[in-house]
Amino acid sequence: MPIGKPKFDTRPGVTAATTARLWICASICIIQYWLLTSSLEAFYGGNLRVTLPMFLASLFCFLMVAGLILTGEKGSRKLQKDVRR
Amino acid sequence: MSQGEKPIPKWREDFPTEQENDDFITRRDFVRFLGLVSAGFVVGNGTLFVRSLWAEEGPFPEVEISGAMDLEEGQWLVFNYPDDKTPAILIRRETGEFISFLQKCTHLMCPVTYHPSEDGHGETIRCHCHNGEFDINTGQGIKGPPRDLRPLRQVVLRVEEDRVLAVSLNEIRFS
Repeated sequence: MPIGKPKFDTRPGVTAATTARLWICASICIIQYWLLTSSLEAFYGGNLRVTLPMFLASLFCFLMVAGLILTGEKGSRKLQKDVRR
Repeated sequence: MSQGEKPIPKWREDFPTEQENDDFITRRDFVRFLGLVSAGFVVGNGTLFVRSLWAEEGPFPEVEISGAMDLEEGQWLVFNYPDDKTPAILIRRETGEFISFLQKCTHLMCPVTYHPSEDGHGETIRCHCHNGEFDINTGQGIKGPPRDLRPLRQVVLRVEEDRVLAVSLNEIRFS
């Protein structure tokens, strides 16, 4: 019986890289949570000037998370292509 | 281990997850999910920003506070300002002067109450939900959770000969 292709990326170091990505994304999400709650507090307190910088900071955080996810996806797709060849 | 129970084989300890369950979630899937959470936070912050573009206050109505002149030093009453749904407190301080704040605690919106001086403790405004305390002069939180939050919003009063009017809300000060 032929051995099937690996289901996941099995190159050395990939698990560590994915775990690192996971922790970085989780940390960024915690920062975004803080940004949102602070922004909400300021908004209800009438301090409307902070909402734009908070939004931009949150957007920047999201772009970082998206970048990290895409980097992982790109590596995974490249591997799948190589396996197919 | 009780009798009749089969011993767990070594391979089962090393591979505790069935292959079909192995597909439920991976680290990579979880990172993708975090991406969705992150996008949700951006939407939340964006919504606040958009709402702040249209948030305007005032003009405030002038409202006569009934019963204000019947208050004696160290007494207080509740009235609604600037609309019928927003409670506020009017305090006649021990010095005789009037001061007024919105009644919702800045922590979790519990109603705050006035306490005259006792046992060497000066006049205070307290929130009993989480033992919060506010400075009566400024409305700034001085104890409990409100200490790190915005101050109580002060109602601007106009005291006339035989009546007290609430005329507006003051600008919010940030410490």
